[in-house]
This record gives sequence, structure tokens and C-alpha cells, in this order.
Amino acid sequence: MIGWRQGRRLICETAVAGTVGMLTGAFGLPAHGTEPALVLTQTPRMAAVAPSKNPLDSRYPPGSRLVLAKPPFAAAHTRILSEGLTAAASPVVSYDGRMVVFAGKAGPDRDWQIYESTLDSGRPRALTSVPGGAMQPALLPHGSLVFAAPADAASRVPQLYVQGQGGKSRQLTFAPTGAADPSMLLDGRILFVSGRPSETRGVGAGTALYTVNNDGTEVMAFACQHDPPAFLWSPKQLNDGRVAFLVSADGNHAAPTTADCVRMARPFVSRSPLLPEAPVHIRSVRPSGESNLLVCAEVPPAADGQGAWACFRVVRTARSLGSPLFVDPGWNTIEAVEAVSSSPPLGRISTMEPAKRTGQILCLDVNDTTFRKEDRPAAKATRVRLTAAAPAGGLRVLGEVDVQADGSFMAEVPADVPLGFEALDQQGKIVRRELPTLWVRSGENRSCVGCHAAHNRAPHNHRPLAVRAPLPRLCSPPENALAGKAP
Amino acid sequence: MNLRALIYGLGGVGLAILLGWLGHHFGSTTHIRRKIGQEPLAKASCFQCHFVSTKRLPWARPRPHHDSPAGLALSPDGKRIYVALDDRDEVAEADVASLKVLRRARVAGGPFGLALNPEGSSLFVACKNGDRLAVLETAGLTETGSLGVGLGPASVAFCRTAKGDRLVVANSISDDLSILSVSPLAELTRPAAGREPFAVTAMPDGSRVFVANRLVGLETLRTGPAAEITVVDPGTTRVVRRDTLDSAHLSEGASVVPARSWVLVPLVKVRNQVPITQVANGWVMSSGLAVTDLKSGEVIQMPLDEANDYFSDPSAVAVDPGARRAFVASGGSDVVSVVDLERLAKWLGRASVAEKQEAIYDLALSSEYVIGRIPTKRNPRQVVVSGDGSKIFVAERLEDTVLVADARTLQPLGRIVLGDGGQSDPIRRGERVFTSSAYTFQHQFSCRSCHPDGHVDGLSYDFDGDGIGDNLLDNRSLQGVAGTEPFKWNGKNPTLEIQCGPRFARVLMRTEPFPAAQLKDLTTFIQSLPPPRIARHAGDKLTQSEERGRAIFFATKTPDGKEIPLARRCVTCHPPPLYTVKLPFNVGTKGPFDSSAAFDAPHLLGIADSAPYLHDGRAQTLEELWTIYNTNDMHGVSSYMNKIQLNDLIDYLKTL
Repeated sequence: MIGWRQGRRLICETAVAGTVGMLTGAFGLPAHGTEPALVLTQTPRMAAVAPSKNPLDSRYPPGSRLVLAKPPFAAAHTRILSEGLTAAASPVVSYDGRMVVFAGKAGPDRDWQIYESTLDSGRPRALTSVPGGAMQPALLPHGSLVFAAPADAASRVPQLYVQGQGGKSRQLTFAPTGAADPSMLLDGRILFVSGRPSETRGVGAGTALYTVNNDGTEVMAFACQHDPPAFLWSPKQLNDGRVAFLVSADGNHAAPTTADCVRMARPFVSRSPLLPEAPVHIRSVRPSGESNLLVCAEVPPAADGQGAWACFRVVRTARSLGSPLFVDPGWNTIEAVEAVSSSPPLGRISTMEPAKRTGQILCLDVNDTTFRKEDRPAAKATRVRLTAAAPAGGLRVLGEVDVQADGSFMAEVPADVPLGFEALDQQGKIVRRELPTLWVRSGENRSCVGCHAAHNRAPHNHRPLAVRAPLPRLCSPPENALAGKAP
Repeated sequence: MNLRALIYGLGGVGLAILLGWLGHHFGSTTHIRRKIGQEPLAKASCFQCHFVSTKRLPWARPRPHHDSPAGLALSPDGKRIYVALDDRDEVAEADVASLKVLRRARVAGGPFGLALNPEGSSLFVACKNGDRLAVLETAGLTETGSLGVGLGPASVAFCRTAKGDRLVVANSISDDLSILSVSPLAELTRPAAGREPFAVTAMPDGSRVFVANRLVGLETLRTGPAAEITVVDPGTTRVVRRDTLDSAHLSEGASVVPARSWVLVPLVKVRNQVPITQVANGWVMSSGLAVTDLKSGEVIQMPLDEANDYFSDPSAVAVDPGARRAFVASGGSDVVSVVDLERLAKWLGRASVAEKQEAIYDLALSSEYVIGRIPTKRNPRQVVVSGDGSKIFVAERLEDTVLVADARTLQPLGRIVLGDGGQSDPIRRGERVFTSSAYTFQHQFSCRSCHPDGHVDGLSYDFDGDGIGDNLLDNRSLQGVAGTEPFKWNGKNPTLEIQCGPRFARVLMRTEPFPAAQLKDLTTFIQSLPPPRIARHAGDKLTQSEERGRAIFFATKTPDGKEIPLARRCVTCHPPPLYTVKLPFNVGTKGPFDSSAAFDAPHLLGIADSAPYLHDGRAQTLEELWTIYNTNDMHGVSSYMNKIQLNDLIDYLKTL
């Protein structure tokens, strides 16, 4: 189908790129036709990976670096952008095409932090100073930084944070299973990866894709919540209406990794292999130009018997990788992104009211279980018990609320606390259960169609009875909240 | 002049300004309190009542006119296309091969809807502003006939019936249909339609005409809003059926598909009764296509949007002669969606009754049958398909162009250029902002999605201003709002810039506010909108009933001589010429979930066409304002009125 919006965006991008291209020419970027330069993450080919508690150290061993490669992409003509850092990774080019932000490590014993470099000078500047480290940067439309922290997953599960120009960071996500790998969708939402609750219809562990607004409101399942368990990472919206992500059978990034995609038009029913005939070792997928891809993958073993990692430009309809665009004999190229300007996503005014410590939730019909017929219990829910994840683990009960005759219920709940739901029948038996997964922010009003309602489903047009009933307030003292802590 | 004199002079001027300001500020407040018997609930000034003139308002000033294409009609041989240019009072004829405009004819009264007879010799033109149907002979493109019809004729369909040739005209303001004989050109009947009949389509055999109505029926507001598809037998000139579109409205197009026994009507699926806690997942509205199966009588609403992208304001639909594809123009999204009717038929054929009923709620379903989206320039509002099915023509209303595209490859072939696009006109630029969904989250809706033509959609919405479910608000017309500040029902927004700026972005758009330049253009456009049209024309004398109603409106005493308290007189809060004192008042309408008892006194210009009424839309008619919702005489002393007096008052209000 014709991706008309993508096409229009690209026309706009091309126009902007033309203008910025003249500017970037002054910064040493290529004047090689219209082909843009690339920002690459490279790891030493022969480096022995020392065991580390920090998975980032394993993925990006000491010596990992960011380089700028210009057409015609000769390995000898790259410029280092992470000069002075022990390791660097996860590059994101700013919307004006002049800066790159990335995760870097200033020394072997230092934490990973977020840095920025101009594409012309390449001298990195630290943007964060987060205990436990920061990783996986993304950029909001006006330049605010989103990142996951801590980078040291051993201390606690990572969450997403936003940091404005003032340098102060605010927590965006409160998922008990953590949140990582943020990237921007064109509609202004942040796409990220989070662990699936272990009791989710018995599918076990694994991760799935979620979205959240730039103020942490409206956390929502995006795709893959009900697929066979797997570890997804590095999701990215492409320019052709798809979202690509990497998939491995376990959380070890050294394990075989493939690339899958879903369509924005129907993310829950469109998952498919991105490159069906590509090798099983893919480390990065990013958009390239109008509708092509930049893929970093392992090429067949060379004379030394070692497989090298190279960058490929792949047309949208390709089933395999084709010939590499860039290979460096001394380095594995494991991530690549084009050094071009791009249209920023839509911005968004926050709906939060920071002075409040609570939010409100409204479910239109707790007995709407249209997601799967087998989920429909014989008994209807007449009450709902709200639970919250306790900081020390386990659950605590916030309280119970009546379900109205039309299935609706409403409650005021503490903000920034993972909330769970147990639908109870007349005998008090649990007929459906959702472990703490979502949260509300301060002053947020949050709604859902129903418990286990089908995804991507719009509500029926009726005024729920719950909005006319007294509002149950289930607000426990804030000391249990996970909110408000700087990373 | 020495220094001392200068200091004294400046000091005197400053003192005079200070005293004047103090007098104005406190004096006007005291004056209003004394005059209206209530403490003003907002900052008041002399300009609440004095020095108000409609002549100086932006909508009363001359404005530029543009070559905005409205209705389209293709000649039977496919060589000519006729374009209605309502803002120019012209009809243009263009050559399809060269894409050149050949000639233009002046047609007074805002030519909007077009229909040709099968021979292509006569062009029938619904003149929306002139309340008439004009007949043009295509050979000379000259007007040869004219007939007055109902108010606001928006479209016309030609039907060849056993009883002769007929025309069915949708009168969008008077909510009725004019059914005409062609020869002689005469009105046979004028049956009632739904609310705002807007699009007409006829079966090729002339057996039935289907009329899409734009607004939901007032009678459906309490049970669940529903717009009507009115089905007419043009031979007998009778309405034979009234189908309903549950929770759907703003249908501005219709197309029969004889080969499949379908009628297609684009629609906006509205969710005004659900608290607006979010806009994601079509929480406020989404777009769809109603499929009426003429054999079974089923009306199935199918979604046109995608899970993460919306195609707002579906305005028109056309079907190729082979009934293979339908083309739906989405005016807010600048796109024509291409529906594969074979795929759609297959889905409908295998779907259960329950699946069909739930289809419109599944935002991922459209991929089953929407096979392409053709990008257009600004505001595609009409679409027609050539007789051989090879081309589509799309009226790009705010670009002054007609797009020609290949109906099979979906690629553009060229454009018929009618005007320059009017980019130098801030009103036109503002209308482009007003009608665009580019500013809302996932392009879900435009300003026009709730304010068609700047007017009302006849619904109330539950905004989550402070918590959920406490803020049900009637949608107010934007027509004639210039000079009636403050805005919002609580009167808290002193300017349109504030009303349409950050607040709108936070509550509805869920994105960033309009950029400053666009916001300025937008408010310029809104202020250029004149009040809603009413049934009478300027200079018409009041009838006896209207005169009696006028006396009641301005009355200071009841008929038995009792003084009506100042605060309970109609004219106190609704003084001419705008019929608003521009202050919030407590008229006893506070509901259990309202946080305040004071509501802005709305202007009454065109009030007859702005139902429902009161801040939460609880009164469906003007009558209900006093028969149901004014038992305490706080909204004017009305308890003394008998049926005739109340009717007189309402008759007068309908003249404003």
C-alpha cells in the first residue's frame, strides 16, 4: 500500500536535508551526491570480551567507538566521534543533522553515560551523570533527552527518564519489569521495550513493545504482548509504516538475533520477518532514505575464520542483505545510522498536574473480554480489587470498588505506582487478573475499554454509569510509591 | 513651555487616565450590578453593553473570494467536467484532456451541488446561499431556469422515473428535501429529512434516492445520537424509509453501488458520551464508511482508519462503474482512501452478525479492504469517477484545484487549476488550519470535525477538565463569535487565541499548540464567520407572532403588571445587537457534576439553528429551555407564559 504520509515526510526531509546539507558541508559532511554519511558503532574485531555484570560492557567491549564514515565509505576514511572514551554505542543523530548523542564510557571503571558530539568536531560532551549509568538515548522534538537508567542492570531494573535543557532528569516509566530501548514514533510517543508480566496468560517471560507519552502518561501495549516468548530489543519506526525490532531467544545479545517488523496500521496482527532470508546475526536496523534500511549484520567468515560485522543498505522489498555497504577489516560494524536531518516527531503538551499525587482510572466495561473467547469466564465481575506493586516485591491491595451495572468502574489511585487489577465475581473469586503493569501520572485521567478487551479497539459510545457514582479513593500513603526519584 | 508646566501637564494627563481607568473599572462594575441586579462574575467594562456594533465586526467586512471547488459533474462523454465555485458565484467548465478551464458562467447564490441529466444537456445547480436551484444549458453554459427551494440547498440528484424526470434537492438548513419535476421546473413536495441533509445519490433506474444527513437527530440525543439516511421514492415523491447511523454523523457524501445493491455513506463515528480522557484508539472519533445492503436492509459501519493513523473528515465517496473500487475523500487528512469493494464484500460475506456490528470499533480492520491512500492537496471535499472508470477527479477545495488521478494505478495525472490557492489571504490560510488534522495526535480530527462550516455538530462532549465525568459541555457555534468574548462556557478565555491555543492542545489535540502564525490565521478565519443563516431575509418584517415575541423579549413587566426583576429579563443578559452581555451568569442550570453555577451568556444570533441548548446541551429545543429547565424562573421569568406566549417568544428568537 502506498505510504503517503511517509512519502510526504520524506519529501519534507529531503527538502530540509538539502538545506542542511549545504550547512553540513561546512562541517565536513559529504558532498558525495545525495548519499549521506553514516555514524557507525564499531567494536574491535579481535577483542576478548571480559566477563562483566553489565550487559552493556559485553555488548560494547572496551575499545568500542563511534565513527563518521563518508561516501564512498572506505574504511580508511573514517573519523572518530567518541575520542577519549573507553567505549561508545547507540548513536542517535539530532533532528537538525548536526549532532549525535550516544552512550559512552569515560573509563573502564566508570558508568555508561550519555554524551553528545557535533558531527564536525567529534569531541564528546557528557550530558548525564547518573548513578548506575545511563544508556540508549533518544531525542524528543525540542531536544530533550530520553534514556534508560541504570545501565547497570544488576542494581535494579532500568526505567526511562527524560532530561531537559536544565540537566535535571524526571522518571517517565514505572514498570515493575523495567523499560529500555526508547525510540521516538512520529506521532510523538516513545516506543520502548518492557518485560511481560510473568502471569500474562501463561506465556511466561520475554519482552514486548509498549508506548508512553513524553510525560509518562498513557502507557500502552503496542505489539507482541501475546506472541511466543522472546526477547525483543532496539525497536525503530521505519519510513514506510513499519516498526522493526531485533529478536533473540534469550536475553543474551550474543545469541542469534533476527529482525522482525510489525505494521503501524495493525501492529498486533502483522508481525513478520523483516528480512526472511537474511542471516540470523543482525545487530541493528535503522531507516535509510525514502524506504530503505540500514542493517548491521554478520557477514560469512573471512580467511581468518572470523565472521565480521558489516553495514548493509537494503531496499524495502529485499528478502536478503545483498552486498555490504561498509566493511572495516579491523572492526566489527554493529550499528549504523544516517547522519542526516529528519522531521522531528509531533510534540505534546503534558496533561499532568504535578501538584497532585493521584490520578483517576475509568474502565468502560470490566466484562468486555473480546480479546480471546477462551478468556471469557462464565461469571461476570461485580467488584474489582486494585493492587499495586510493592517496592520490596509482591503485591499490596489498594482496595476494592464496585462494578456498575454496565460493567464500568472508576477509582482515584496513587500516581506513579504500578497498578494491577483482579476482577471478582459475586463470591469474591478472581475471574480475571492483571499483574501490576500500568500506572497513572499525577493528575492523569486514564481509561480503558475493558479488561482483556481486544487491542486497537475504540470504545462504544455510551456514558458509563461509573462517572455518575461517587468516586472511590484508593490512595495509600505515598511512601510506597516508586515515583519522584532521580535515577 | 517651561519644565514645571510640562510636568504639571503630564501629571494631569496621567491622573486623568488613572481616574478614568478607576471609574471605568469600578464604575462599570457598580453600574452593571445596579442595572442587572447581579454581581458580575467576571471583569466588566462599559463595552459589555455600550459601543457594540455588528458593523465593525470582522464578519461584517468584505473579504476576498476564492475559486474554491465544491460540486463536480462529468459530462456523459467524459470530455468535460463542471465545477461549482460557490465562493465566486460561478460554474466552471474544464476540458478533461487538456485540464484547461474553457469557460465560466455566473450563477448567483453560491452554486454548490451539481447534477447533469443523462444527455448532458442540462446542468442542475444547487445554490446554497441563494436557496434556489438553477438550470444551465451546457451548450452555451447559460442559465435558463431557476426555482426557489428550501434553505441551504447543498446537493441535487437527477432521477429518470416512470412518472417523469425528477430532481431531489437536499436543503441543509431547513432540514427538508425539495422534490422537483424537471419539465416544468416545479416543486412537487418538500418532505422532512433528517438534520442537515447534505448529499443525495440516486439509483440509475430512478427508483430510489438516498440522502445523507450531516447531523444527528435531536430526538436521538437522549437515547444515543444517530444521523439519518433518508430514502425517497422520487416517483411518488414520498419518503419510504429512514435508516439510522448509530453514533455517527457528519456524512457529506453518498454513492449507490447498483451492482452490489449497496449504498455507501462516509461517516464520522463519534464517541461524545465517553469522557475524553484520551484521544488515542479513536477515543473521541474515528472515520468510517456505512454500507447499506439494499437487499437485507442491514447498515454496517466499516472503519477507514488505521490503528495508529487516522483519515479525518471523510467528505465524499465515489464508486467506479465496475463497482470494483470506492474512493473516499478525507478533507482533514488530504487523502483519498481507496476501498477494494470485492475485498470488502468478501469480508462482509464471511463475517458474523456480531462481527459486523463490532467492525467499526476495530481500528486494525481497514487493512482488509483499504488498498491505497492517494495524497491530495488541501481539503479534498468532492470526488467523481469517469464513466469508463479510468480516472478520478478530486476537488481540492482550499487549493483551488481539481486533482486528476489514474483510478487504477492511483498515480496523479495532473490538476485543473481554478485559482491561485489564496495563500495571501489570512482568512483562507486560517481555513486551511481549521480544516486540517495535521495538528492533532495521529491526525485524528480537525477543528471542522466538531464545527462543520464553523457551526455546531449538535453534540455535547465530556471534557476531563478536573477529573472524569464532571464536565459535559455543549458544542457552541463558532459562527458569529467575533466580538462575543469571553469564550468557553465558563467565560474564562478572554480571547480566541487563548481558547484555541494551549488549552485546546492540552484538552483535545494532545499535541503541541498551533504555531503562532497558524493560530493567528485560525482566529482570523473564525472571526470572519458570520452568524448562522436563518429563515428570514434582511428587511423582512416581523410577523404578528414574532412581534408579540419581541415584546416579551424586551418586557420589563409581566402581562399582569408585575415588575420583572432586572436579572430575570431576557434583554438584561442578551442585549442587542449581539444579544449577549458577554458575562457569565447563574441562570439556575448548575448540574450535579458542574463545579460552577455561572455560565457565559451566549450570543443569540442564529440561535434557531444551534440546538441543543444550555451549557451541557440538556435542552434539545428552545421550548425545553422554559418548559423543562426553567422551573425556578432564574433563566428569565417565564412561568407566567401560556403556550401561545412561549411560541411567540420562540418565533421571535428564530428571527435573530
